[in-house]
Amino acid sequence: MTDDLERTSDDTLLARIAAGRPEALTELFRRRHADIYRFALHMSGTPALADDVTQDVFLIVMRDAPRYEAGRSSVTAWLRGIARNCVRQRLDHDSRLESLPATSEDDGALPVVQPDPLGEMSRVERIAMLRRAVLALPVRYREVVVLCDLEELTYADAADALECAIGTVRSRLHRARAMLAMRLSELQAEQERRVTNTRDRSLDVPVTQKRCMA
Amino acid sequence: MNCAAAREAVLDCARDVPMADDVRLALEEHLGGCANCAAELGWQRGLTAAFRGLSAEAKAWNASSTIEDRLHEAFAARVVATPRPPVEWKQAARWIYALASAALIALAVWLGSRPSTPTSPESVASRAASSPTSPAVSTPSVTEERKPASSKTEGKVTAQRPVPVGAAGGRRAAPPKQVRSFEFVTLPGAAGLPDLESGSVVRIAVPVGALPEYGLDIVQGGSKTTVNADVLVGQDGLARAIRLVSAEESATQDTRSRQ
Repeated sequence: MTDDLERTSDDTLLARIAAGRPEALTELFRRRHADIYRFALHMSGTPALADDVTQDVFLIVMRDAPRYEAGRSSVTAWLRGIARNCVRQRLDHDSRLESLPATSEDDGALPVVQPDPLGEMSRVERIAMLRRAVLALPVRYREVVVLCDLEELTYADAADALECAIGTVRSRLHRARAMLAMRLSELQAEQERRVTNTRDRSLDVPVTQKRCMA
Repeated sequence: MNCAAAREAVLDCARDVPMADDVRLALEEHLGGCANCAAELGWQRGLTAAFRGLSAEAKAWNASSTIEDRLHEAFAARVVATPRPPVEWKQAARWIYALASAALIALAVWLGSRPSTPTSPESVASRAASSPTSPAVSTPSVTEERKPASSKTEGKVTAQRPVPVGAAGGRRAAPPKQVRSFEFVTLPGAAGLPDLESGSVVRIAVPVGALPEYGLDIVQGGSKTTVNADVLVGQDGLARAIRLVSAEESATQDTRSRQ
């Protein structure tokens, strides 16, 4: 039975969900929820919001499964379209939610063996900076970057999910990357200033202490 | 290939999107002689690498494990609340709805076009005349010796037995309030009819000479002249009661209908 479900197409699963079959919902959820969650987390930067969006998407799937038209778009594009609308609605309601998610170090999810701690820190910093820059993009550019560069969808699949032309996806991606370049250089300059200030303060402390002692 | 076209191709090249051979060759040729576009490609490749790093890290992200349980609860509640027909029955259900709708529309049209109540005085008169329980043929009662009940009767006719409509068994229809001396009189032969559940009042012109057959007295006037009368017709299309209409009321009605 489980093997049978695993071989079942997404379209058939949706038809079974429409017919009230809970095992079909389980299978579709297990198959697709991670994509939805990642998309929502990339877009919002907030794990709690990503959880909510994931739940909302599958609640909508329950409700709208009978209305899904198989020939119109793929199930994954349909799901991402729903997720995109849910994220947009939630971001519209609360723009304060655009904060950074907990880093992997906080979660304890980093690998135990770190052959090059400095190099690894540098990589983690770079990723954190990139994440911050992506979150600073306007939503219409952010969703193109998330779908094409982070979820690695083709232009055609991204166009399906965003309900726009492939040319629009390409031009938005161009523009988004240009905006990212500017934002990343700003963040880099900011970080360099911060590092310089920290280094100066750490050098100052012993001098001040010596003066006090004297 | 110029720089503008190269920038388009640089994006695809940096993202490892499959490119046509001629485009790839043209790009390579351009990059060999354009330091700016070559630098752009290097920077875009670095960005792609950073994206892949972030993407790889994101593979470990997981939604809360409680979501699936909550969804199953919601799904079970939904299925219980609104049992959905199987998908293969949807088409059949659409046909059933369409046929049911068509039947309802046809019924409504038939009810609307059914001649439940006469619309002209002539038809009322003819129905009353042809009905086995109509006063004209059943039990005519001539009561010429009776006195007029009211002096406000244009000096011609008056009601023989003033009876409210309710006395004919009616529950809904009521006589017009403005009529005082010209009240409904139960028609002879209407007593054996079923109770009045609903009905309508139809105005007809009645020859004065025929009034005794309806249980009304002739006071004055020739038998060939006509007077206006309201007939109360029940739900079965049979006349239950009649009342004479005063000249003033007729005149008011005529004025309204002209307006």
